[in-house]
Amino acid sequence: MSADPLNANPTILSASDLPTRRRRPSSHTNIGAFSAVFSKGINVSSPSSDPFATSPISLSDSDSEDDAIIDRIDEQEIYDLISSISDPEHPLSLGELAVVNLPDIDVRDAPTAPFSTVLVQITPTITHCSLATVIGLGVRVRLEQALPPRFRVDVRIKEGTHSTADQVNKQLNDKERVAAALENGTLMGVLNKMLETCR
Amino acid sequence: MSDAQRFLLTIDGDQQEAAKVAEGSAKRIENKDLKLVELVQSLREFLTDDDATVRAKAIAYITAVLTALSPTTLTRQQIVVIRQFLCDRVEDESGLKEATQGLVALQRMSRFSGEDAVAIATTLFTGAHDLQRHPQGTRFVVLKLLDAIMSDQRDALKGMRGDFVVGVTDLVIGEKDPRNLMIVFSVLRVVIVEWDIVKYTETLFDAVFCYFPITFKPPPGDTYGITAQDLKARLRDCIAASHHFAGHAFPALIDKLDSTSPSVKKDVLQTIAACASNYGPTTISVHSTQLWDSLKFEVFNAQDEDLATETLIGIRAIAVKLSFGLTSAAPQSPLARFLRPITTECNERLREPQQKQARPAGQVLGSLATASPVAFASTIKAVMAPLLTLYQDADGIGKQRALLEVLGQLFESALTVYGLWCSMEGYPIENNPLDAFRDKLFEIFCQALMGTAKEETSFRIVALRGLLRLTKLRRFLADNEIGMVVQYFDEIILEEGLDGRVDLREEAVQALLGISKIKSSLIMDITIPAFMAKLPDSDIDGAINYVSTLEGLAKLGVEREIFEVLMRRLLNKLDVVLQNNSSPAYPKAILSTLHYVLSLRLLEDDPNLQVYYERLVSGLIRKATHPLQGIGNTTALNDEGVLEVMGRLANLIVRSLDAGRQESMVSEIFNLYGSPQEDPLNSLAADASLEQKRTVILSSYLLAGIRREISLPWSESPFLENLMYIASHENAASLRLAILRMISLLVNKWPVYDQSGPADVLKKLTGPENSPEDLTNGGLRVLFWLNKALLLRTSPTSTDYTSFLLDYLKDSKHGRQTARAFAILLADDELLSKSNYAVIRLLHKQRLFTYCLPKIADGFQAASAAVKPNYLVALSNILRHVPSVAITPSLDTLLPLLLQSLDLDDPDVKAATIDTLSVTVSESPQAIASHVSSVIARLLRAANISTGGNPPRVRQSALHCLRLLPGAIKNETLLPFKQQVIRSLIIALDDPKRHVRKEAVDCRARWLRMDEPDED
Amino acid sequence: MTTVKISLLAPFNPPSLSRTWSSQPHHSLPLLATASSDKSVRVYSLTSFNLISTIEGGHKRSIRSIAWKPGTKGESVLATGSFDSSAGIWRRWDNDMVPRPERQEIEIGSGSNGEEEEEEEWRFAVVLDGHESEVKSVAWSAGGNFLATCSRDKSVWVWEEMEDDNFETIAVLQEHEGDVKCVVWHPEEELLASSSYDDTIRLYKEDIDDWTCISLLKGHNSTVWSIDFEPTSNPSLVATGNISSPVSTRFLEMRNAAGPRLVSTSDDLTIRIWSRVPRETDGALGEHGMIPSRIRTGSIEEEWTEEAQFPQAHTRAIYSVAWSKRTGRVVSAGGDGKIVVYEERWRSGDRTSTTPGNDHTPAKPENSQVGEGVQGTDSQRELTGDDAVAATEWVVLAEMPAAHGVYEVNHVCWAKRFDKGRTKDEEVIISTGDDGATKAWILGS
Repeated sequence: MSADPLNANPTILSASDLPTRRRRPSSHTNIGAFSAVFSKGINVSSPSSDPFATSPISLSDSDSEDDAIIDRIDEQEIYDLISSISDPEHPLSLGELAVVNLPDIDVRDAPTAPFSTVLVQITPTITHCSLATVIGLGVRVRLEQALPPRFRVDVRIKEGTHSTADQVNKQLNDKERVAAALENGTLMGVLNKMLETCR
Repeated sequence: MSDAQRFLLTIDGDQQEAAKVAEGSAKRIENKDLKLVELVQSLREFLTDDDATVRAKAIAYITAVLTALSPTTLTRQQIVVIRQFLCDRVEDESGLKEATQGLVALQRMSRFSGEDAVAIATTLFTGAHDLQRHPQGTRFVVLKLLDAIMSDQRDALKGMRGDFVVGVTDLVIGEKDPRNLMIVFSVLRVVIVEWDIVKYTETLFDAVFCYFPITFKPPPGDTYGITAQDLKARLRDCIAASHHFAGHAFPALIDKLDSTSPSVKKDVLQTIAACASNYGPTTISVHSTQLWDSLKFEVFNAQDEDLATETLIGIRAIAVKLSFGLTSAAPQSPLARFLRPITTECNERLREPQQKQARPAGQVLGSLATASPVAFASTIKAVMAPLLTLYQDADGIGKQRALLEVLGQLFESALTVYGLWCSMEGYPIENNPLDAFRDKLFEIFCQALMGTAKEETSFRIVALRGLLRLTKLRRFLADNEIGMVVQYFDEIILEEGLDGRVDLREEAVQALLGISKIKSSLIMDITIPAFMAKLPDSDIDGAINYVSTLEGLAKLGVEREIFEVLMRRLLNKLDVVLQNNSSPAYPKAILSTLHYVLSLRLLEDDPNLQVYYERLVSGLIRKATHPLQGIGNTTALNDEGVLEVMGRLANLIVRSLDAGRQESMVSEIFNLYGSPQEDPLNSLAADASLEQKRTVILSSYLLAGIRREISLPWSESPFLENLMYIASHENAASLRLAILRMISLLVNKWPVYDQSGPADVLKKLTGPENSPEDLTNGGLRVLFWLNKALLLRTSPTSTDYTSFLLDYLKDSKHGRQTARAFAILLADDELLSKSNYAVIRLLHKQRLFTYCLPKIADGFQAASAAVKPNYLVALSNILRHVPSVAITPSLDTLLPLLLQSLDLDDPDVKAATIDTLSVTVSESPQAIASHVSSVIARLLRAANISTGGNPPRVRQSALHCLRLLPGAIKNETLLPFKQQVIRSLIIALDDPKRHVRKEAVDCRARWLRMDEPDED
Repeated sequence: MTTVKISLLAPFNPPSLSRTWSSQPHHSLPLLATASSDKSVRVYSLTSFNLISTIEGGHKRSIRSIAWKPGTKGESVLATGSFDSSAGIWRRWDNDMVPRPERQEIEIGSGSNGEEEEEEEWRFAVVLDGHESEVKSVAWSAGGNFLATCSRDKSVWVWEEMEDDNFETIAVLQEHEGDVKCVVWHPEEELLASSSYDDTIRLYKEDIDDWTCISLLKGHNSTVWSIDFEPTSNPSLVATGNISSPVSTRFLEMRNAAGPRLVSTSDDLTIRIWSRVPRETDGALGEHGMIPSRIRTGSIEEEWTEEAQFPQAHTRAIYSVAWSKRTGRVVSAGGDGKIVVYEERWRSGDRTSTTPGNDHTPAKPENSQVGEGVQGTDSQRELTGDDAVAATEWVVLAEMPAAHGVYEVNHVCWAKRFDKGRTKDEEVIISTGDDGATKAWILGS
């Protein structure tokens, strides 16, 4: 891709400003436990881990270990899945280039519904960007590979942000054409390169 | 038969034999009973033989003899004769290699002269001019000869002037072999540097540049170890060797810059940088602008980071060269002419600070500014004013942050050029061009840090970093200004970060730490008092914000003078806190702060060690234990948690005392509490109060600190038995642990305590009347801690203990707990550690593992179904602490057991087993490869919530282990399982826990990326 | 609501391990072929629902569509359309295929069990190359002498089978402006229909010896995924309406003149019925306008109009539709995982006609069918001339949500029921889904 890049100078967001799932205020700075500074040196043979205790108190009994609490798949999780996809043209991610944004993602995942839907609207960096289809396909493939099968993935170009939005939307959401594209070696090569940076 | 004939006969069959013959001849020449000329004559008939190989062997004989001769034997005259003789042979095609080897041997002779070298060179240039027709070996020897004579007789060869240059160039033309090329490049480099090549620049450049760019991949099984990098570096040195090449090199390199291959691009950029550093300033000034025009595209449209960095290095090298000898950048100077288009271009790009190309613009300016003080001055002059105006009218915080980042970069460059406060080197201070903008910059950054909305974290972090650099810049800010910055940072640490956004607070703490290294007085006078004022007198009203304040103090207390102030004030605060009967947590936090700071320091050679001992060991312990004798009134210090921290603090100090001090104080140490009498552990007597009993926690920490060579004030066996008995019956967990640790310390550090085997210990513990069967958990625990101490010392009795304990695995009553207790044996313990002088043999873990594995494997086979899990649990509790390198050799016996452990439904065992598997996958994948199908099947089951018995952390580690397989194990082995894995991971994609789902997504993506071999 | 229930008769096993695109029953033998994205075709028995043979190794990418050649005797011929831009013709002697109850071959190519006397059962007879990109659909003409293929390269090809595996391209039709999704032949005439990504349907006929597009059906506003012709003798109305009423008999005659209708499903979530407008010249009763009157204007164009729209039952793209030869009912399925069956009924009489100037109210057809009061949309029929308002309406007879669990349903078709529990002339619905499964369903009250 060393030919003159289509959009040499897109606007970039700083990585630390991108929406993240903020850690809950550290609830455990209560009296008993100390923050990392002081816990240095607490070792495994501390009284609380005596193997002979009848019920071994597992150290981490916080709710991350409690299966009763179900973490629903929400917009932030979808954003985290796709924001680290790399742009085919720049060494930058779709999140940094604001191609994908949290407010443009909508998840419908009611437990009772026969199937669930995810709608992602992408904003190409420039209005006539021919890479919009590849970027859209990258987002769709990533979500189809990462979400449970009950999800129907719809990827659309955001209203008024692209000259040929309709054609691109039609192509992106034609199940058969997407399936055929995934069997095309060269295209999958490009997509895999874009998805490699996903964390 | 003459030596020559014997040599000729044996040369083919037996090289050593032939060499011995030659050595024999050489010996006879040295002791003068054979003349060299006679030797040559004796070869006459072979030398004229029409069979080329015979001729070659004859010369080989002469070469062997010359090699064997000591350098001083031959006279000047003999050397000339032999040299002429061998040179004549050079034309004789087949004998070229042997003749050259002869000359190589000859030039070693001490009387070998420049005249000989010139003659040889001339022969090579004429005789072996179409060198490429010869095999690689022959060419290699010729080049070796050329290299040798150039290093020893360079001046003489220089006399040949142009003929030598032309000769060498023709000789090496068309060389392809990497080994030969390494010599070619070094020979050419010498010629280019030391010969006058003006007339031959064109041909020489072509001879060198035709190899650029080098694309070489060493053949598999290559023994010579020459890499592409070595060749590229040598070639680069040639190209950069003489400024005469500049006219040819730069255009050619620029032309190759738009190659599509990143490695070629990188080679080009590095060569440009090398040329810029080696050529003279005048040459560079001719090409500098042309170079900037081509490098510009690379900087602003870099495809990847390291190409951008290489480009910056190149640009900076040009600027450094052009700054040579300049004290001020006169407008006409080549440096100014070079910088002007760059700074204008960067100013242009910085007008859109949020665009992608603003960042590289900042990087270019930052790197140019470090080239030299002159470059720094002219960069600042060109960009600072526009940057400040841009910042004033920038609309939106995103734009402002990008501009602050560029300014921060320039401050960083200033630090490199003008140095920090404490660093002596760096340039004279008076003309730091930033001074002109000092107040404006200081105001902007302070306003950015403290004036903006609290939640604009990333913006304020950039401001904070900029301010920190300004405070570090030598003689830039006045002390009062730095003081103001310190106050800002204090405010951030004390007031902010309670809402979970701690990144800014962390940055502020690190910043204060940085300042404490250069201006510790400011920290002592401003920060410490501010922090201390924030500490409440008590936590009765439930206030817990003191923890973050103490944490800040802990991190800042590292500098010695600061710690002195901190210790004094914290101890006063401790008294106040105790008087206001706060809960034990507060004093515990204070003591932890002191412990944290001291733990970062090397106390052995600290002058104040004695002060610390008085104030923090005897002082504190007296305060804690006196209430026992009704003197003090506080009970908070008697809390178990507080005693733990106090013990750890005391241990830190006591163990740093040298043997002498410990000798004099050992009895005093144990009489700190309780009335002085023979057995300090009266506190454990049956009728002792709970508070008295708790002091055993302190005793364990103090005992740990005592050096091995110090003898203890108590009689041996009754003391140990007493401890063991109490330990096996004590059920307060922390007390029991303290006593068990003391038992271990005694047995490990003072061998005098180590005589009895497990059976006698058992009898003592259970007393004469009852039988070993009703051994309580307590008893077992004592045996484990005893064995732990012995095991660390790899004492022979430990094997008896281990096998004794292994037998208990099949005990229906105690089997389960015993299996879990095996974790005690190898777990690291804070007291039983090297720093506490415990005897810890290097391979004790491996020895236990190799001893236990076969026994556990057999026990497992023989065991009944109910008891089988105990063996797997014991195994996993050992494996958890054994370094993986020890595990690899016995993987074949281990793997089946590991796989069966995955079928247990004990989550801890499963988690431990999976961790071991993950380590094995990354460290010895081939061992896993043979069991891959059952490994995958079990990991998939462990990753699936519906199979039950798999808590989230087990599911997550199973998925993580699965993800390691592709890449560690060959694709062919894994491909048959790919579809099955991808399908069964679908369930994990719907796992109720988000962190497990994340692992499933990454794992499935990794397996999906495993390319299908038949991918068309 | 619908009182008729769709219930699962049996899943065909073993299922494919990846998405199954489509299926088709054999024209005579109790066999079902399914096309899957694992590049293979599975042939199941409709009596035992077990796999009889798997056809592999012919295509390099997913197989999207399969079609049994009609009217073959003694030898079965199967056409496959694949994403590798080629179509394949496979042949096999019938005697091997009559399913011996116990034998069940899974892998054919393996030839592992020595004693199997017949060699490779399915022979890959010929590859039909020509399309530039994925082949989306293949279909044999009613008589079996033409094969139509369509592809994303916007073209529809018509092949004619010469002797011994030699196929000749007799037409390359490039009228569509987008990826052609489906081709289907008229049940009797040599009339070909194709539906496309360009939201239109086109019909083609051979005029003298050159295939041309004779009609363009516009109306859908998104990709037309699937189309199917009405069976020539559609029994449904005859069975439901009372023949004697003058209006219905006149209506049926009108319908016969127009010939079999076409049903289409689309990404715009609608299902529409199209019918041919008979030309005035062949307005005289009895003349079916079958033979193009060449001598007259020489024009072969036909005009088709949208006769009706089904009630909306799907919430996502409708990938497949099939018109039952036996009952005249229509079944559809799509991305919402639902299978829906529709039935055409005489319009209930009480509503006044909507088209002006209609002087006689349609007789009220008493509903012999059990389904009462089912509300279907009126079928607006822009009939030129004085014809009565559409006398029939389409109603949803039955729905089956989550037919393949959470997965999408790619294809549905009707098939004669062969297994033991069948009643005379009963038929089943076959569905294939993204879960790789193929299922047989029965309709029952």
